[in-house]
Amino acid sequence: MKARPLLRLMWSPQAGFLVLPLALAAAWPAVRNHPAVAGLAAGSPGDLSSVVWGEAVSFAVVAGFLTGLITRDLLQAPFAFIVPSLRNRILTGKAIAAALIAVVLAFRLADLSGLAMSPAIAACTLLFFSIGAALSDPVFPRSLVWIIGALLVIPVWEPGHVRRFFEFAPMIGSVAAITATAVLVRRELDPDTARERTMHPMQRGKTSVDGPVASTWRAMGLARAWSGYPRTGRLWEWVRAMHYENFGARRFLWITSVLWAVGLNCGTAYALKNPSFAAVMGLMNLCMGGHRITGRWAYPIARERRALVLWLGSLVDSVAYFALAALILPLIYALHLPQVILIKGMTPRYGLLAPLAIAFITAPVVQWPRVTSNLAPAQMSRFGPLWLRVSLRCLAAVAITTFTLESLYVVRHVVSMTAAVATAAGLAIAFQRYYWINLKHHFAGSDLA
Amino acid sequence: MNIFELQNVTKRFERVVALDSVTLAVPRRSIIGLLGRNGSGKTTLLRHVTGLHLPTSGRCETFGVRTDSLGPRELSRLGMVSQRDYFIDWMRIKQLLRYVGSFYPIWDRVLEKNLVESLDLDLSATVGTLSPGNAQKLALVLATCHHPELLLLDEPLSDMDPIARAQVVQMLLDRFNDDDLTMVISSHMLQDIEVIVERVVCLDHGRVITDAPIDELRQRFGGLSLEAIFPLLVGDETPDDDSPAKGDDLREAHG
Repeated sequence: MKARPLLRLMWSPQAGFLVLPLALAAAWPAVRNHPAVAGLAAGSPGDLSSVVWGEAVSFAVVAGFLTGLITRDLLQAPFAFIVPSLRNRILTGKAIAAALIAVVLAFRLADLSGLAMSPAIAACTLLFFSIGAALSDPVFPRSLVWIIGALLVIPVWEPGHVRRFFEFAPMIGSVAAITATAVLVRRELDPDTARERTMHPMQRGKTSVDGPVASTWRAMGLARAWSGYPRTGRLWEWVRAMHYENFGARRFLWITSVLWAVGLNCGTAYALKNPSFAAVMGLMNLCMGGHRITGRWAYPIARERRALVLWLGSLVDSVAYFALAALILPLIYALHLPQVILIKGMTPRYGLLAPLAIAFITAPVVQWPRVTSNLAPAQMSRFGPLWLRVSLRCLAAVAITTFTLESLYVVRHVVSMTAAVATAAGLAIAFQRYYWINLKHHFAGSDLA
Repeated sequence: MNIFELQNVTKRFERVVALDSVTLAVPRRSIIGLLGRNGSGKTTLLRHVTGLHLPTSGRCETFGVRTDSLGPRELSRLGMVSQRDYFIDWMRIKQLLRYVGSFYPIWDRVLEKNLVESLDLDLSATVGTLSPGNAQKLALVLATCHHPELLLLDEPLSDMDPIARAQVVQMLLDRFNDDDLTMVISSHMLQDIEVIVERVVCLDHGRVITDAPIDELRQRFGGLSLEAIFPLLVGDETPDDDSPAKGDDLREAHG
């Protein structure tokens, strides 16, 4: 008798928001008993309290960010604007999620900081949840996103500051947090902003290509002019053409995007005390972006040559990322910057470069679906299965990487460094060759549009 | 010699049969009107000719070469306007013209300038901001400035206003007269293309149901316009509610 209303609820947008905090709350005991936290519990009570405050802040920001992403997807779904009261229902769900997280975290921290601190903790959680949601809001001013994002590093990295502030002046802290939350919520409730949020993808399609940033680049003379000659049929000219299509909007676009990715991933890997993070995130990067032939034109290029151009583009992408990461990661480790205190971290027992080398070897596994899925719109339209395949391949690549790393760890006492490097080089060549043969075969018999 | 030829071409997209045993040969220097209802297989057929799609079974040749083996030599002699052309959004029209021009051994800058002026395109406009009609005009310029021998036009007029359509039809006729050109035009704007096509190929559910010179069709259907003949070809003989007499005329002509 009760099943039908429950099912109806599960189909409503609120259900999505309920699932997230409930799942996170259910996972909380596991987090609490994690060795990283348990280990710190042996230290001073202040340390443990800071750790849990850090968890609260990070948790609220991530939950807010995720709910913001879900909101965006729902509001921008086809025909979403004709669903009655969709925005109100979504806002209700969001409010329920924020309240649940605030309550769970307030109870979580109450036994460490005292019951009197609970309102302050709840207010703090609501603020960081709202900030997270604002960061994923497509119409939130971009400049503010950057500034807030940069400022967020402080409480996430050193949550002790947040703890001390709220413990020093709980009342003022709570009022300030609630006021800031109210400002963000007011923006969310504004009907004009809501309309803009729903229409954003269409407006972006019309304006972003020639927005203020693009105009500024042009005014600064940084837009690139095309000077290639693919008509000569030379392979390199077609690779240049593909590069221009993808990254010609402004000078240095490609290299800056690679540097951003490498810097961010290596920095995070260091902060999280896990060098493998840079390798795995590198694979994710290659899976999501890089060179590809975007058009559906009948380019005057033979199918095999097209496959070769794409293969070279993939190779350039992975070499650029992993070579730069191999330079930057040891450099960051050499600087001895502070690391996130709430993470116990992994012992880099494989060294810094081995994970990067293994990820480079397995890169074609994650590049394959992206390069080939661009072929037919029919494949692109099946977004879910495509991304499921991509994710599965990523997992497979990570599994291969881990397995190989473990094997290397075992055999490193048996084989010399020279033998290990030679094996890695051989594996890289074998993987790339296999990738090329598969691409050639695929392009010989597939629809290109 | 035929400029392209399909022999018993069948194309399946999983369970959907887009082309069903299509056999078609198009001689050089002709203008073909490719008609059919939505989803009848027109776009799929044109994509087979360019080699963008490959047949599930059967044989497809363009310029005497199997379409899975088309190389730069053949593809440089081909121009295509797609129904939903994908352009590189961030480029300006001027940049895109220079970029695409670099693909081909011949790129007629004078023709490009004339077409841009006559079609009223703004060279400094960003491609991503073009209206659908202007995007189609740009696609036509890109498809013709390398003087292709075979021009495939998939709904080239659908988003244009009547004045622009007339301009484009005139431009296509000029190209046909100036170049050694073969054209295939797929369009629902039958009034517009009627003045230029010589032969009509009509598809229905992936099969060729009519392949005849337009004069022969007119004769067969008592001098009716292509727009009036089309429903009869695809078997939709329902008369217009407002003009029962016209419906009777059609049946009589058909019968």
